[in-house]
Amino acid sequence: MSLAKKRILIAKPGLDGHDVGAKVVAMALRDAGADVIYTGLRKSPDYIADVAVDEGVHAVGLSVLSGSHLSLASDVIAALDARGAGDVAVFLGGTIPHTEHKALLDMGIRAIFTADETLDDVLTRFDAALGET
Amino acid sequence: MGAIAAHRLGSARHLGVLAIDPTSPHSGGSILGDRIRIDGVVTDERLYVRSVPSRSSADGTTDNLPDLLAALEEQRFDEILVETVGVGQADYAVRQCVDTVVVIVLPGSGDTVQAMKAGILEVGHVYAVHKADRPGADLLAAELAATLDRRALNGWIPPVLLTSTVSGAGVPQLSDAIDAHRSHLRSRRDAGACTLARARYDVERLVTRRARELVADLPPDALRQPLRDVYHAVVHELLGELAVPHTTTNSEGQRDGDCSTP
Repeated sequence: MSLAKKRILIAKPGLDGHDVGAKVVAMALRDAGADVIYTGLRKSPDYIADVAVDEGVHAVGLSVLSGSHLSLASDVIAALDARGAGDVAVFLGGTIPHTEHKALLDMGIRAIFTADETLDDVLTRFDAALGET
Repeated sequence: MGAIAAHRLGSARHLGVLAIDPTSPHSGGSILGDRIRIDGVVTDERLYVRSVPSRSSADGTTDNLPDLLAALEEQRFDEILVETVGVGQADYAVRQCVDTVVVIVLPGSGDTVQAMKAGILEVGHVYAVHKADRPGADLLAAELAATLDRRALNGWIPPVLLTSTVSGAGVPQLSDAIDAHRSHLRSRRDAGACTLARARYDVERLVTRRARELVADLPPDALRQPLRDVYHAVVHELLGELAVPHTTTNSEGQRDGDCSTP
């Protein structure tokens, strides 16, 4: 699996305080052989981009359950671009309505994960999408 | 780590932190969580934190620690803090890579202190009894100090401090003790000993790591041979790689012949 030895930042942007999903995915990625850094709760897009650059990650996984995913995802992508890190793959997970998936994918989100799929599916799609770089 | 990093930023212009967390021996993956605790205390653009997995290292450090330190030193950091995985009684590898070793112990580990006396009490230049707001800290500090007083290392008697991030107590004293040890190092005639020790460690780690990889790749049949034959086969393989430099790809593939000593 190409996830082995990949450096992945799992981040919680914005104000929601629920990170069980983020931690479950972090541990699943670890079990798939990745090195996973977790930011902790309530981080700004600028902070997340700073950490992504300092840590030299291959991918950032954003967990959002607050409903603010459109603006937060777009801000993180812009912050990465501003730091010359536009090549970092950005993933999104959480309560993301299917009607908004296309807009998110169009703005540059690599893949979107929701609670209606299994962890194995998440890993398989994460792996495949990361392999596209 | 966050508290001491914040304090050291008072005098350092640029501070680097290498925070090492364990690699899973099962999956090869890791959760690198040290940054959360550092960022919870201090975020400053003069502070660079890099989270590092321990990889194949089982001595509290990580593969290529000397290379990582050399890379940071080239970037002119005034000071680099290394947070090890946390070590047991006999893991003192980090001592060969750094100038000053701070050993952090927690109250309530009375029995461990007995066990530690031979190993880790010979490693530290400064001892901090952390979470000193908890019961038993004073007693532990007194025990440590009594043991260490008789163990002066090259004229340096390791101080024992009480620290707490709940109250913030002891952090300035810990920082002062690190400075005092640095002055002590400068005053010694063998001031270059640390550089030599790190160079030695770098070579040793590279060779042992490659040897371990070769042993891991041995087929079961090979392991049934007499020990002497297997040993010779591995050494032969290791020496054979010297004939074709720069073509060995280790698990990282990151060594592009830049094995210069720091």
